Amino acid sequence: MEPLKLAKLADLRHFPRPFTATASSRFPFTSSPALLLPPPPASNPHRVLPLRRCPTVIIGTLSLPNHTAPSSFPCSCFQFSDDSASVCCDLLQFQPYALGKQIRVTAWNFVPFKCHGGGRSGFLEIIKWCFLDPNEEAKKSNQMDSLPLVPNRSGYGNNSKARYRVYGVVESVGPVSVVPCTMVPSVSDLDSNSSSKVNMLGFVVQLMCCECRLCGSKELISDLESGSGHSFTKKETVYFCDGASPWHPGMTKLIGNRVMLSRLKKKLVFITKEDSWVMHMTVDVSVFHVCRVSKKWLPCLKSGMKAKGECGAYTGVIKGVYMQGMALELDHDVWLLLTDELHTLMHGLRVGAVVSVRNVHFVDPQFSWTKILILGACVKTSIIVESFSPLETACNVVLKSQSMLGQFIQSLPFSARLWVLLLVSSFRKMFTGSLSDKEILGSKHEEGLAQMYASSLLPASVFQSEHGSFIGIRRHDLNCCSGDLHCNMLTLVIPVSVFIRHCIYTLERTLKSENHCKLLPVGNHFRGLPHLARYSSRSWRRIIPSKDVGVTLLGHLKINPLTTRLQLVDATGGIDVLIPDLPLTWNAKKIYEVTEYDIFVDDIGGLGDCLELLEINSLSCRTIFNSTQPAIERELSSSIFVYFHWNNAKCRKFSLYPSINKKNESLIPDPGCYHLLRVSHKFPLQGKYSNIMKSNKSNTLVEAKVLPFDLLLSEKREILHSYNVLRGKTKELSDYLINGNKEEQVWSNKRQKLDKQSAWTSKDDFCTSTNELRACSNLFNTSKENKRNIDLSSDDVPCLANFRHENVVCPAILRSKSSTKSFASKSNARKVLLEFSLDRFLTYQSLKIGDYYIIEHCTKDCLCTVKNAAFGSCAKFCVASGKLIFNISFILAKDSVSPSTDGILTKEQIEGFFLRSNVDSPNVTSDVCLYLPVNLTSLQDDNIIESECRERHKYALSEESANVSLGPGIIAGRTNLCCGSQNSNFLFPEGNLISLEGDVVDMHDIGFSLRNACSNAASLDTFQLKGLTQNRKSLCIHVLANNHIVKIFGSISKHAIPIGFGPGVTATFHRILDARSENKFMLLPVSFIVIKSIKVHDKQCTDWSSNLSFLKDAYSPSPDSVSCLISLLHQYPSNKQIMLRCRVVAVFVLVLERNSRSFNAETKNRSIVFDIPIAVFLLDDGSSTCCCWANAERAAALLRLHEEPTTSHKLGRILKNYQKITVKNHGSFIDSPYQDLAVSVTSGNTFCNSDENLLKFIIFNACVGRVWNVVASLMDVEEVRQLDNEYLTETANLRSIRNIWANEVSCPSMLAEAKNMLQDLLRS
Amino acid sequence: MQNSLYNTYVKLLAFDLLSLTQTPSSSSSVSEPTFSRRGIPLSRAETLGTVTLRDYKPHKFLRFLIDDGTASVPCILWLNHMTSPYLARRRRPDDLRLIADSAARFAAEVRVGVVARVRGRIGCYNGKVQITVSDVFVERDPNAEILHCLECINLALNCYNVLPGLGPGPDPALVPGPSSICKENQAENAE
Repeated sequence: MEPLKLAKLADLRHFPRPFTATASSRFPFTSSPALLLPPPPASNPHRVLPLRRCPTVIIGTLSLPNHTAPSSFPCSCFQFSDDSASVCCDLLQFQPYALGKQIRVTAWNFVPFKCHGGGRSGFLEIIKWCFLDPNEEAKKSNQMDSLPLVPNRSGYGNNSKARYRVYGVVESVGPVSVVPCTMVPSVSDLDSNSSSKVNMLGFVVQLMCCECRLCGSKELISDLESGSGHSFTKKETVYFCDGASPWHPGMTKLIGNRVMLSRLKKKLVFITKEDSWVMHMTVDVSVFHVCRVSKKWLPCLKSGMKAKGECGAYTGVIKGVYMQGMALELDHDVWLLLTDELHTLMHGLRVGAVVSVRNVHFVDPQFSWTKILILGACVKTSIIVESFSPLETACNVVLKSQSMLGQFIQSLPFSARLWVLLLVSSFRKMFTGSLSDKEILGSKHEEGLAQMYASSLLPASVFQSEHGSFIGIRRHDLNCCSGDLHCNMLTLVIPVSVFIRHCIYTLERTLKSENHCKLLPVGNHFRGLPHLARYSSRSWRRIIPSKDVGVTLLGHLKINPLTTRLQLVDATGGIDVLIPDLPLTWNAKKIYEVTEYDIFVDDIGGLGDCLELLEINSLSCRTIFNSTQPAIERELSSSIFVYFHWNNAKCRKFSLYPSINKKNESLIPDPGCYHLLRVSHKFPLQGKYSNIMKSNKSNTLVEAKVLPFDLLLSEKREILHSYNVLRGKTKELSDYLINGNKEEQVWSNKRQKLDKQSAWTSKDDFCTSTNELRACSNLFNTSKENKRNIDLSSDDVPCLANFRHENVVCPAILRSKSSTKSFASKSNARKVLLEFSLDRFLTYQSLKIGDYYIIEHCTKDCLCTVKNAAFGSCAKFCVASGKLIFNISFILAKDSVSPSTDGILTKEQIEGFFLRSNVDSPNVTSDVCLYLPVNLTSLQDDNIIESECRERHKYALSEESANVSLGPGIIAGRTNLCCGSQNSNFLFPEGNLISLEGDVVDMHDIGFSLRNACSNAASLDTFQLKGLTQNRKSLCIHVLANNHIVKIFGSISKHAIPIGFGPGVTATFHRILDARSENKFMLLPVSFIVIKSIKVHDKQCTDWSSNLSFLKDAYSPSPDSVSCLISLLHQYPSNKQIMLRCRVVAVFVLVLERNSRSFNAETKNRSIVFDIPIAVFLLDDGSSTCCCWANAERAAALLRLHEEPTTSHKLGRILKNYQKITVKNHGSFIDSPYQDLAVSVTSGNTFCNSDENLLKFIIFNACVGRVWNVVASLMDVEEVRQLDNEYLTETANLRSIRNIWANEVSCPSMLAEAKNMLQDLLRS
Repeated sequence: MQNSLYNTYVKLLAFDLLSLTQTPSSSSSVSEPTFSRRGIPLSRAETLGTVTLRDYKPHKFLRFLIDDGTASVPCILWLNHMTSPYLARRRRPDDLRLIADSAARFAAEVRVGVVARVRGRIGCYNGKVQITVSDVFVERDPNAEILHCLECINLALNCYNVLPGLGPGPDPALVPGPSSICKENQAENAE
C-alpha cells in the first residue's frame, strides 16, 4: 500500500487533465457518489475521470468568495486555500460552520482550467471531507451554530436598529448584483447628511416564515430542527448586502433548510418611484443561525404541471453543455436555459453532474418538430450540484457576455431564447468559411447576422425589458409567472446536412405510420398475401410539404459541378432544388430564404436500405447543437429535392455586411443600346460539367434569333414607389404614351398616324436623354431628323421599359434595324448560336426557350457585324462574363385592353391597363417589361412578338424545321434526318421536329427493349449505335397531352434529364422527332426537356386520380402473376398471384373511413381525406364470377372514384359528418346492384337521403365501368372468415364463390393483351 | 359448376349468341323462354362491336344493333323508368331516377359508328335473340374489338365448350328460374 500523500494546490493547478483522487487506495470507493455511476455507454464521448494512483488528501481552509472589490468577483464559488494557493471549489454535505475552518479532503475531483488572464487555475470538487480538528468533528450533530454574517467582525457590537429577526425556510436566492442606492435618512438620523448615493453589492434571499406566536416571540428558538409544527407560508425578504454578500454560495446550498437570521434592520426600499418594498437588511452585527443536521424542507410539488411557465424544482443529470453553457440538456430533451449570472458564475456545471434546479420555470415551447421541456432560469433560480460528474469533462468558465447578441437573447421569452440559440448554432455551421464569427454573432456595438435574422422574425411584443435582479425578483413575486410565447411561428433554420436527415426521418416515420394503420388489419391475418406496399420495388415519389417539416431553408444557390444541378448550399452540404421560374437575376452571392416549399423524395425503395445504416434519429436540439455529422453521401441525397417557386424565395439582405452584397450585380440594365433576342432552343449539355471544366471548352450552346430591332434605353429613370401612388404615375405615363399632354385626345386602336410633334415636344427631356444614347452602329442623329413626322411604319417606336425588380420606369425606343426601315416589312430574324463561357453557366441554366432577352450592344461582337446567316453557317457568339442579359416581356395594348365597338380606346382604358399590367402578376416573371404603345399588328405579322399574342398550342407545337448546323457529332444525324422522307427503307427514322407539352404519367427504362417500341426497328438500332451511347439512358416516357397518351422514347444523356423529372410533372419536350407512327415521338441528342410544373400532392395518400390508370401497361406487366380465367382459379395454387381481366358486376360491401393520419391530413386544398379499409366486389370475366376484396387505392379504382373527382370530394365531405360508413348490399346484386343497401354509420347521426343517393350512385357507377386488370392472390375460407369478423361484412352467403385479394388494379392495354392472347391461342 | 355460367355475362360472338337454343318456359306464367348453349343454360351476355343502327323513341326505348363482324345483335335499352306505373309501384323514386339517368346517359353514348361494350340479359323478340341492355361502355381503343373477339374464342375453347352439357335442353330441376326482376321487365315490356 502506498503512503498517503498530501497534495498542494499550487502543484495541482499544473496538471493538464482532470482527475479524481481519494485518501484510500481501495477502489471502488463505494461511498463516493462519483464512482457509483456505471461507466458511460460507448456512444458517450466522455471518459471516466482517471484515478490518481497514490492515495492523496488535501488540507486547507474552506472560505466564502472574496467580494470586497465589486468589479473583481469572477464567480460565486466557495474558495479553498492551503498555504500554497487558493482555488474555486464546491463541496457536498456543506455545513456553514465549516467556513473558515481547516478541513481534510479525502475524496475529490480536480478539474484544471485556464483563467481569462491566461494563468492556470482549477476547480476542486470536494466529495468527502472532515474537520482537521477532531474536537469539531466530535460536536453534537444537533448543535446549533451561530455565525456572524460578516466574519471578520469580532463581537456582536451594538446596533440599536438591528433588532429584527427572521426565521424560516430559505426559498430562493437571487443573483449577486450591484444596486445603486440612494439612502434616505430616517427620522432619527436627521442630523446626519441628508442623502448619500452608494453602490450596494448584495443579493436577495427570500424565506418562507411561520406566523405563529412562537416564531414571533423575541426569544431565540433553542432548537431549530424541532419546528415541525410550523406552517411556513409568509414570504420574507432579506437583503444580504456589503459584507454579507459573499454568503451567496452558502445560502444557495441552504435552499430548503430552516435558518434564522437575527440582528437585521428593516428598511422600506423604493424600487421604482411608485413601488416600495419592506425588507430586512443585514448589517455588520447580523448573526446567522443554522442547525448542523437539518432536514430539507421542500415545497410540495404541484401535481399536473402544465408547463406553461410554472415555477418548480427539477433534478437531473447534465447530458450536454451547449452555447457556452447557456443551454444545458438535462436527462433527455429537458433543456435548462440559464441566465447570464448563472452560467457565468458557476463553474461546476459539468457534463455528467447531477444537479438540482430550484425555482425554475417549466415551459413547453410547442415546437412543431420536436417535443421538449424547457426549464427557464430567472432571477430566483438556483442550481445546486447534488453529485459531481464522474466524467472527464471541462468546467464552464465564461465571462459575462458584453455583446448585443447576449443581451438580445436574455431579453427573449424562454422558447424564443432556445430558438435563437439553435439559430446561432446553425448559422455558425452554415456560414463557416464564408462569414466570420464576428459577422454572425456581432459584437458589443454591432448586430450580427443571427440577431438581424432573428429580430426580423420575432414580433416586437416578445421582447422583455431587462431589469436588475432587485426589480426582477419584485416583478416575479407580483406577476408570478407570465405565460410564454408560442413558437408556432418560429420555424427552425438548420444546416442542410441536418435538413436532409430530418427529411428522411420524417418520411420514414410517415411510412411507418401508414403501414401501421393501413396494412396492419389485413397484414396480421395474411402472412402469405404479398400486398405490403412498404419499400416496394417500384420506385415512387413522396412529397412532404414544408409545414410537416417545420424548417426554413437558408443558403446560397449554386450549381453543383458534379451533377450540373442547381442546389441550395451552405457550408455543411447542399440539396437539389427545382425552381421552375428561376429568373436570370438570381445571384450566387446572396443568401436566400425559402419558407414554403415541397420536398420530393424519389425512389424510396433505395432509401429504405440506407435508413438503418445511417441511424437517423429524429430532429432534436441536441442534433442541431452538435450536428457535426457529415453530409449524407451524394447518391442518397440526390433522390431528395426541394421544389418551390421563385416568389417563395426571399432574398435576405443583411445590410450591415457589405461583403455579402458587394458583388450584387445590377438588376437594372444600364442606358444604352441592346439587341433583342428570342431563345429558340437550348442544347443539352454533353457530358459532365466537371469534364467541361477540365477540357476548358464550353458545350453550353443556345440557339437564338436576333430580332431586327434594337432597344435604346434612356438614362432618365423614375421610381414607382408603390402601387398606391402608381395611379397618378400611370396617368402621366399613359398621357405620354398616347400623345403628349392633350388630355381629351383619344387614340385609335387602328394603325394610324399620330401627331408625334406634340408628343416629342411635350417630352423634351426624353428626347435629350435618348439623344445621349450611344448606339453602336446606327447613328441616332439621322433618326432624330426623321422624328418630326414619323408614323408607326418608320424606324423608331417610343415605348416604356419597366424594370420590375426595382420598380423603375424608363423611356425607351424600339428601333428597326432592317434595311427597309419599317416595322411593316417582312424582315428576317437572324439565327445565332450563343456560346456561354464557363462562368456564365448559371445564365445558360436560367435561359428559357421561347423567352425574349436583351443583350448589350458591342461593336466588336458578331451580333452587330454578321450579316444574315445563311443555312449552315450560323454565327457563333460567345457570351463573355461581363455581358449582361435580361429577360424582357412585351405588353401590348391589344392584349389587355378590349377596344370599344369603334375600335377607339379611351384614356381610362389605357390607364386601367397600366394599373393591371403593373401589378405583380405571377405570369410576368421577366426582368424588364416593355410597354408598346400601339397595336403593332405589323410586329405580329413579322412573327416577332408572336408568342405573346398567339394562343399557346398545348399539343404538338410545331417548330419550324431545323435549319441550323450543329456540332460535328450531331450534324450527320441531322442532315440524314431531314432528307429522304419518301424513302421508307431509309436507315434512320424520319419526321419533323416538334415541341410538345404534356403531363408525364409514367416513365420507364427500356434499355434493350427499345427495338420493340419503335416502329422501324432496324433503323432505330442503327441510330442508337451512331449516337452517343455511353452515359445515356434509354427511356420510354408516357405523356398525357391534349387528352391523349403519347409515348416519347429514345436515349438521353443522364445530365439532360432535368432534376425532378418523372411521373407527375408537366414538361415541354423541345425538338423531339415525330416518329410518324401514332402518338410516338423520339428523343434526339438535341432534344431538350423543360419542367414547367410539378403536381404537388401526394398520390399515395390523397389522390388516387389520373395517374392510376396508366401505372401499368404492356411494357411493365406484373412480373410474377399469371393471366387466367375465373372458372379455372381452382387449378392454381394459393400462393400464386393471378391476373384477371374482368369487370365489376356488383359491390357487396363498402367501408369508408375518415382518414385520421395526421401527416397528410390537410394536404394542399384537398378535401378528400378518406380511406377505404375494405370493399368487396363481384367480378365477372365471362367464364364465371368471383368475390374480390380490396382496400385503399385498389378499391378506389374499382369504384371509379378517380374518374369522378367531384364524387370523391362529395364523399370526403360526407365522411366529415360520419367518421365511418359501412354499406352492405342485401339485394339481388346481379340485377340491380344499388338495390336494398343497408348503410350504417358510427357517429350516430342519421344518414340523410342525399348522402345515401350518393353512395348508391357510386356503387351503381362502379358496376357499369370498364374492363380492369386485377392482379390478385387467392384467399382461403379462414382468411375470409377473419376479414368478415373484423369488418362485420357478413358475407357468409358468398362462401361458395372463390375469394381473391386485389393487389393491383390497372387498365389493360388492349393491343398488348390481344397480342398475348393470340399467341396463347396459336400455341394451344 | 355449369350453373356458374347462368349468372355470368358470357362473351359470345354475335353469330354464336344469335343461335342459342331457346326453350319455351313451362313453369312460369309469363312465356319467357330460357336460353342454352350446348345444353348449358345462360341468362346474361356481353357483346362488343360497332353500333350500326339506332332506333330511338324518347322516354320509351332505344333499339340498336351491335355488329361484331360475325353478325349483328339486336339490343334494347329501356328508357321508360319514370313513366312506367309498373316500376313506380315496385321501386323507390330515387332509385328509379338513378336508373333513368344512367339509361339516358347510355342512350346518348350509343351513336352509329362507335364501338360499344354492351352487357345485358338475353331475351327474345319476335322469336329472335336480343339483349335487354343493363349497361353500355363505349370503347375508345379500336383494339378492344379484336381483343373481345379473341376472348370469345378463348372462352369458348377453354370454358364454354369444356363444361359438360346437359343434353338438348336445360333440366328445369337444375336450372334456377328467372329472377323476379326478369319477370318485371318482361311484364313491363308487354305493357
